[in-house]
Amino acid sequence: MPKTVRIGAIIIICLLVVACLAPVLTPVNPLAVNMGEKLQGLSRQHPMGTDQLGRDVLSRVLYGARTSMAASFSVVIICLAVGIAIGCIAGFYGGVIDELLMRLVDIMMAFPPFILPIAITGILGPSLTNIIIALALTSWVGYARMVRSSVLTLKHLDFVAAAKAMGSSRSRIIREHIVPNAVHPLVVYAAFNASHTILAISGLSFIGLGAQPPTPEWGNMLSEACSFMGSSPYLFIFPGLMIMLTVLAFNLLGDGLRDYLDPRLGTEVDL
Amino acid sequence: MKRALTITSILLISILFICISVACKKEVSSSTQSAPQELTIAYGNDTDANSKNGVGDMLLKIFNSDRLVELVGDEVKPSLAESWDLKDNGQTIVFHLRKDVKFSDGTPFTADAVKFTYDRLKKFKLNQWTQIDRIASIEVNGPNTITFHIKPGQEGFIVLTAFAEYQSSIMSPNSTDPKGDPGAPLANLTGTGPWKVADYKKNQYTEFVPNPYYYGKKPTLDKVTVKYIPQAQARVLAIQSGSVDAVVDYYHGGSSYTPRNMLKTLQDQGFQVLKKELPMTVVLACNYKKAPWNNVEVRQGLNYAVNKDDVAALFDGWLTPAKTRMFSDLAPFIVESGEQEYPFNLDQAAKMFKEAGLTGDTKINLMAQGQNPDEVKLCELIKSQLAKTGLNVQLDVLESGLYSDRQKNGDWDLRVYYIGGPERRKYTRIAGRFDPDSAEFGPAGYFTSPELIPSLRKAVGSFNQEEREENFKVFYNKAKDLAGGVPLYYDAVFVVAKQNVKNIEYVSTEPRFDNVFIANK
Repeated sequence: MPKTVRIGAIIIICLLVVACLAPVLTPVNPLAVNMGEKLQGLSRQHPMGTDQLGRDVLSRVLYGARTSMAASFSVVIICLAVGIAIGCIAGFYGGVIDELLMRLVDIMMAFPPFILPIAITGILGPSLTNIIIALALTSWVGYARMVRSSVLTLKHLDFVAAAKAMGSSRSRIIREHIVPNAVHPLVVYAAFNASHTILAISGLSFIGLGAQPPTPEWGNMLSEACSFMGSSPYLFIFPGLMIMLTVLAFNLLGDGLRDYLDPRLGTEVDL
Repeated sequence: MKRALTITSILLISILFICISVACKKEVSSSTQSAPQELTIAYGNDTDANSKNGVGDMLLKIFNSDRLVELVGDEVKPSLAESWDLKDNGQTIVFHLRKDVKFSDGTPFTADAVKFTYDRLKKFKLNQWTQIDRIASIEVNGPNTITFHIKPGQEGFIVLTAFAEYQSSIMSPNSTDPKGDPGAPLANLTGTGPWKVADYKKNQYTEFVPNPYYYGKKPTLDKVTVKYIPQAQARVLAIQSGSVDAVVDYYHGGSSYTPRNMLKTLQDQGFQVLKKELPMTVVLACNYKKAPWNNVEVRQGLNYAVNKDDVAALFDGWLTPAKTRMFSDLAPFIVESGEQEYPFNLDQAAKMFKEAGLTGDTKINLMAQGQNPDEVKLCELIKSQLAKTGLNVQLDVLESGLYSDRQKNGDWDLRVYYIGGPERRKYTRIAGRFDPDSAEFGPAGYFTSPELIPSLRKAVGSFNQEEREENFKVFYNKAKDLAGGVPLYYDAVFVVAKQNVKNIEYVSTEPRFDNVFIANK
């Protein structure tokens, strides 16, 4: 297993632990306003300082991990489910169904990646849920294309022919023979997609379309910090570092998994 | 002889040398004196100098135009009109215009220009709420006399004050293309003010130079360039980088301002920060037409629940918390009592909410406009303060369209709003926020009650100053008791400028640059 996979996985696991145990790790309520402690620098009581409303930045960063990770995983899981379903149906059945589904994929891919989420949140209103829906609506197409191309290869292989000969139903062939073999490349893709999703969610929250105040989220924390870049730089440094760390972790994981799983790139490339 | 010639030559050469030196020195000093004095301002709105169906932004109107009258304190003073007669209890106003005034293109200012201006306002439904809806007809009686007939029931002092409105600034009929057509697009907005527009590029900049025909004291600067920079942060960066000399808040107040939390930083960096409080108060408005906000005790409880010192702290103390009265000093006949109207008292608030049946399960939403980060922060603060009284308020940060829809549909409980306005608008705006019969109230009302109306109408309508004063006092007291919403802080117009920009003055609530000079430049 490449080191990159291990490093990426360890960081992600740490972030997940932090996200899950945020209430235990931080004694301070991330929503608790205290104007008397407004914009206080780093201290023992507030290791990452306080924001404009006197809220503890550390608590908000840790709770922000919860929001960002949950949203990112939600998008990836929805995309996996939809992408696998559509990719399998299109690839396995072929013909008109394939044609229709792939044209739908082409249409979805024709939209610039950020315009559709912005338009969707414009219609549905800004919220984290709507951002998850919007990103899932635009991201599933990559999964669907990837699964379809795998299925097109897999369905002509001997083990599928054998399953057919043994009288397995189509749904069973897809479920038990096609999907398990088609998901390997998806794991790599999902890791990269998770990092893109973290960035997209942060970006959309930064412009006010994602998580709504007072919910702590890294993107909206960065947005709130804009006015204080000169006077209180810690307000954007910590959420910024968390975004960078998370994206780096997913990229390391994706890179490592790609090297590990793709025989053409030479497995066991230990960096 | 030879010696005498030599001495004479030396003397002549010396005199010549001295003359040349003096001349050169004079030339140098005169060129130094005549070095153009230019000022560049960053402003968050486009001046709209060449608009298709507008009359220009407030800053533009103050720079290049005048009004028939000016509202100074609580009196209407002559401006382009040197006097006026009120007839039929104010239903007819005859203005006698100055004869010595010219527009910046050299053409004389006449009653036809006044008529042209009001025809344009009527054509494009501008200034409609505050003035146009109140005017029945306009009659030009001669080159320097014009009569306004006011609709029955609409007459009063408030109508006279509306002639001092920004949009009531008089423009030359030559401003449009084709000239003289009030419905045509503005091609070159020509006024009688101290400045004239020399160049304008939409959404980029407006260049002003002194109006050579101005009847008053000529501006000291040679040119003022107003750069349109919509993003607040970009305006701050512009002055920090030295690409502008000053940053000016929107003249109206309330938006397009220098972020309050940047003012201290800018001051520490050596910029001058000038402030003028407006007779405008930012309030927490409640939907008083529906339960539970139709209960005066709930509204009073809301007043007790909000810690206004914390609200002011949000803006680094640059804005004054509205603790002792509804409006700041510039509001008509406002009196500082020194006593807090509703002192911060969480227990009292919680008790009043409980008595009114409000619990943590009561659904209450607080609307905030997403494009205004200060408003969002303020709402977050209010939400947290109300949580301490046991109320569970849901904060809805909305984009402007959705916000407006919900406001129109009455689908809201609480929102941040403002009452009052810039000084020249203070009478019309108070009526517009509180009087349901004013045209403005429908889309922009704040609170009303039958108990407020008699005193309010006399306060803004009477031509007798004493009667106005007496009724304003009654109105303020009743408004306090009825607690239509929560006055939070008095808004202000700020100017941030380099130290070498001298003599920026506020006339009423508007920053003026007429006497500005640049030192050591």
